[in-house]
Amino acid sequence: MLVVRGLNKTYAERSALCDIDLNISTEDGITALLGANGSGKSTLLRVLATATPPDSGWLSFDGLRYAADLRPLRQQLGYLPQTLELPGTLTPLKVLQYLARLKGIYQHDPVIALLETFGLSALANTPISRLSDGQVRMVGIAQAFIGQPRLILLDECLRGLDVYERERVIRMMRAAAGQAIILFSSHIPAEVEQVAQRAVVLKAGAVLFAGEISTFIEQATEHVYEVRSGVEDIPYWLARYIVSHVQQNAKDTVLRVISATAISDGVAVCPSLEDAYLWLCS
Amino acid sequence: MTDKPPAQPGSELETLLEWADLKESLQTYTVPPAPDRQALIAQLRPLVEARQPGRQHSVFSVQHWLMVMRGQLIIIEPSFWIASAIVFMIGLGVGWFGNADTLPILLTYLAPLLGAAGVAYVFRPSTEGLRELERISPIRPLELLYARLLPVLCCDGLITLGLLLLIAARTPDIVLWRVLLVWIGPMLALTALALYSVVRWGNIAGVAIPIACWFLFLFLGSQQVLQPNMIPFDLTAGVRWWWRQANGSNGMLIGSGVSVLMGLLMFAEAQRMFAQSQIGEP
Repeated sequence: MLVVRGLNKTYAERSALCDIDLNISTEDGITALLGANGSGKSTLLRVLATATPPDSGWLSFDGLRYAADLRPLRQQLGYLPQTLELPGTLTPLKVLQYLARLKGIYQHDPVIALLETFGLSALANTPISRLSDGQVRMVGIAQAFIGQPRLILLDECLRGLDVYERERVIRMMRAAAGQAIILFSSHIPAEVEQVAQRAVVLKAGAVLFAGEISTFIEQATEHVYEVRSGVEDIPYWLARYIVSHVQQNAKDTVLRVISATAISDGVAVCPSLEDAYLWLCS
Repeated sequence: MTDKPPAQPGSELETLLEWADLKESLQTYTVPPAPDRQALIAQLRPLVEARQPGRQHSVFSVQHWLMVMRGQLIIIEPSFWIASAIVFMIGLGVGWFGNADTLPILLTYLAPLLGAAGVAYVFRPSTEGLRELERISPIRPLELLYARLLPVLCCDGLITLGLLLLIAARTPDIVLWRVLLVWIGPMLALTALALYSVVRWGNIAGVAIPIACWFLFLFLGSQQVLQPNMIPFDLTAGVRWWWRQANGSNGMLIGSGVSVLMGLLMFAEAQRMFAQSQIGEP
């Protein structure tokens, strides 16, 4: 179980994380860290990955305290940073071998198996400089799974991947869920809805919500309306309400409007995660 | 970061951490008889071992250091070893086929720079991308630093030693131990200067500063020892003087000792800065 209490982090007098409290257990399945750019997702993941120390707070994972048990804790950790620039002259095989050895894994087989799982076998000996951004990202994601870590932290792991690569990564995340805590960050609600069962929503460095995604969505019930209007009225709706979606049809335009009060012209509809996110974060 | 959870209502914290359940279990727990305990331990052992993703040795064991260095060898590309072999072969060729002064000149002017160039190479910018992942590895920053430096320094040291032995074989009046001791000072000082410059200012500075310092030192030294009328500058005479001094002067030995001390101080400062850079503040 990952326990975070009163976590604070400040960069250049700007509060990046503010009094974060979290409990995430292995049984929670995949947990998404959702928030706008600059909401503190990457900072939180970096702190949880021990890449940067918090200013204050108490953190533990499965009884290992961040302040005292750094070495055994890091042995259990897999982390994909937001930006990853791997040496262009190394190959995926060498990068994974190197990072595996840093974790004390000297066997060849686990690395080969990871390359296979992430569809990188054919590229194993190709220099990183000759790989596409998506392929390099896949190498980065693969390294986060070295040594079957029990705390996997993935910062925007689905960014820049094609459909097949995304499927592989999601499959791997689902396979690891149950044996490990998987926490991944994203600022795209649709992506989160597809992958995660639980979400931690951050706003300006503070936790706005932590729990089941369905519970989060429920909070926007009776606040999402579908409104049919002419094209000329779209500016009116955009100026007065949060509009999560605009669909142009042959006859008219359908808008998903988020509102605190009932809209007489609209029909109340079931909210999506994106609607709920816009409703709660606005 | 504090080592204890922040003050919270006790009951709330207990619920959050499932302590109440644990407390209840412990209060009603009866210790099983010895055979059952053994059976339980036997059942748990594979699970505990499976949680250890890699082998771990004490940081004081030779095995640990060999393992960590084995990992570092991956990011030292074959081109480095090939270049080192070529340097050695050129030295051998010059020593074997050139005149008696050529190899000492080559060694005097270039050998300490081999160490500096080697250090700048292993800390080249292309390995920077791995820093975030190295930072969260179970290996401590200073262990990484040493493990990366040692193979390169050993390689450079062996090349220099091999060429010094060749010089000693071809020049019977050389007192090898004195020359070796005199050699260690500049080698260590320049390597430490390279490491300090790389960590502080980057790769280019790591190569340029030691080269500039060494040639300035040689030039100023030659100005002192050579006669003013020896213009244009007589390279061979300068080197001959240097070797004569290394072979018999106690002043040279003391100077080398001072260089060793300066080198160690710079190493210590570079280590401190390197460890600081690994803390992870952006």
